[in-house]
Amino acid sequence: MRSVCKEFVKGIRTLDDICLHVARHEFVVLIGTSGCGKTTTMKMINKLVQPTSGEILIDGTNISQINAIELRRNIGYVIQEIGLLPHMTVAQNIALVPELKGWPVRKREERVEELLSLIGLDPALYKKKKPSQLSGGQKQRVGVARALAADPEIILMDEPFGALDPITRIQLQDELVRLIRRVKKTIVFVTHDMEEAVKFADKIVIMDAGRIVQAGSIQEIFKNPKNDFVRNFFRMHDVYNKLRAMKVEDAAVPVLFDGPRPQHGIDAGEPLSRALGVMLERGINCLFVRGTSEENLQVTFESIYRITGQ
Amino acid sequence: MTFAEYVRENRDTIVHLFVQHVNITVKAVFFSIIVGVLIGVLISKYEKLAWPVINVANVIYTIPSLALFALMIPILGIGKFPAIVALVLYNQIVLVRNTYVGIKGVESAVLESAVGMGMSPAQVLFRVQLPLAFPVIMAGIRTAAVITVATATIAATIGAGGLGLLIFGGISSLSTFQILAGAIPTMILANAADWLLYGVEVLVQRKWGS
Repeated sequence: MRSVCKEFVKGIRTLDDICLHVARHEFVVLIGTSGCGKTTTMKMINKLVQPTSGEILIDGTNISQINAIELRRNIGYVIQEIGLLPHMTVAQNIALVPELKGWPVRKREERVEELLSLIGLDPALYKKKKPSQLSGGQKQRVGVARALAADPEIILMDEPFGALDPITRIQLQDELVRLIRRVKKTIVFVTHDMEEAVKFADKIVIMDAGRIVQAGSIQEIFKNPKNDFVRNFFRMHDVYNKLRAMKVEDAAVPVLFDGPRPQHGIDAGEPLSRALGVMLERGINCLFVRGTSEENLQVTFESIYRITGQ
Repeated sequence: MTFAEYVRENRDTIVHLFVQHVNITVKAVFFSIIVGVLIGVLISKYEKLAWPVINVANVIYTIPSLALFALMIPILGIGKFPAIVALVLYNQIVLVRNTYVGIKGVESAVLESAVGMGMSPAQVLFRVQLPLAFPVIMAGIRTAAVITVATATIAATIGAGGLGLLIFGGISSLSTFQILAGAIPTMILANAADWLLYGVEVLVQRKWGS
């Protein structure tokens, strides 16, 4: 991207002088608070948004020279709300872009089977289902499969896991990491979640108020944050690193004799982040710790809070 | 003379008018759908037109049906054609409104992904918007069909024939049997049309529903 600007309202720059280079097979994460322009930036790559000025080149070709429909069929697209076509089956959804590109039926069917296996859904069971019969996590898996279907070089993902519960989200993130290693794609990924960025990114692009604040590898940004805004993003991440590094047993405290009794349990060896996730998801404030020599241990919000030094 | 005897005696006339009635109704509903869905699609694309168009259709619907048929005479004369035109005009409100609402009701995420995957505007319309709007459009079609069967009786006043002839004839000759011979088949026809279309809806939904 070369000095791309976007004015939705004349005179008001939603995006200002965005310059960004994405290398082949690079995983680039655009990160920033809501309304910073990260999604708009991404949508200019598949021409869902037209830049007011500046140019975007793919393999040296200015995309203003490429037909929008043709361009989009060669770029995978995954959005937070998934947007599976509800009147079509899972197979039809996945095969949509290959169909638009005129692949023969046989090849499409093979591709659907291949992709369903790749995302861990049994083709025989899921091919004929309608999106309404799938769970949130399954839907987004299908959403990812659909984006991969015609084997595009570039994939755009707009907070694909943002609407999922914490456990499913982590599961899908891990799957995506594995998947990407296998399929080798150039990916532009939008999120507001630093944890996600750290997990995936070869390059992080931090955006604020329509501008790129800093771009680089995690290590570069970590070592040399440009300003407080960048530092802020990383401080949040510090806590998360701690939570992931510590085990449940590190935060275990005895269950009080006259205190509330925990209703659910978690293994002592699990990362502390998992315990916090379970507590938040179930809306409970303590968990039994299983698998320790001592009986009657629990983790609570307070014990986690104390040990992470917040 | 009983009603059964009346019907037996006038069977040929009743059947003839029934067929005429079906003929007018089918043609009117068919053209109503074409015009109404077309206008509905257009105003969903050109949003600025939506409000005025729906309001015009609404105003047409408020014209007393007898008056609407009568107003056709100076413009198009008498007979079947002006009657069908009046019925098509009358049906526009339900069809235009339902098509518009159905298309607008398609989730924006679904549209965004359809466009983002590289569907052309025509593909988005025919493969996403219209199929998803189908239940709402179909509801409009069923309402239109029932209204048309009933309203088509008034078409008799401008020389289009149909079961209305029996009803109006019955009124002027004070023959209850004759009125019933027009009214009962009309009701049967209206309900049959509704059920038939409901069947179509169920079949289509079974194949294409979500």
